[in-house]
Amino acid sequence: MKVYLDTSVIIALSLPEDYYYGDSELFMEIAKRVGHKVVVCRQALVFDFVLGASRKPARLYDIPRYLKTLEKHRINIEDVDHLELLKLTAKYHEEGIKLKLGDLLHYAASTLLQSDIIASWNERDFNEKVAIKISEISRRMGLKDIKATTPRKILEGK
Amino acid sequence: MSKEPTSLKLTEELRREAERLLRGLSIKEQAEVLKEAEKIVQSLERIVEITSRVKMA
Repeated sequence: MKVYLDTSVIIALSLPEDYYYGDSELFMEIAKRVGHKVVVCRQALVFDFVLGASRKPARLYDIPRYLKTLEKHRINIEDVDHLELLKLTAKYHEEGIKLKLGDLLHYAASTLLQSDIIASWNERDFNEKVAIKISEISRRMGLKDIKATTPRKILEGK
Repeated sequence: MSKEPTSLKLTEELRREAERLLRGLSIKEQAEVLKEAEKIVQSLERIVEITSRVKMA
């Protein structure tokens, strides 16, 4: 199974004091053991970590920490075409999916990377209900369906 | 002391800021901004690579 990690999981894995750190570590350990391919999208991470630091540039210096996390857990960084990513994000928005641009961007990235599921700690925006709507739009465009849930629920097989 | 879900708050904050920055731009312009932003990460990767090499020596 190809699992796409949302930024919330990368940040949790990078902060031992985070509430989700332990579960995120456990998820990575088991994902590796059962042979899941765990990926992130370079362009979506750049959106969050660089553009997201526009008002607090000091946050750019946290990026090496996140890169080390990806390296430590052997999480693959995959690329998508910038324009294709933003067009698909806009399409989801036009079709009435009411999420923030960044959340839609991660749905688009995971779809373009042909992932099976998005793992995110943000259950409000990354859940089965939204993923079904996203998949309906993607299917019409000849793209793969996506599921979305928390790392904990993936471990529990839900 | 209970742990805080900093990861969730921070992700939300970063996305809000990124969205604010791109608001009003065309898709083509957004792609241009994203490409430029990617160069910053490449530079940081290079800095980490060089500095860790020096520290190891």
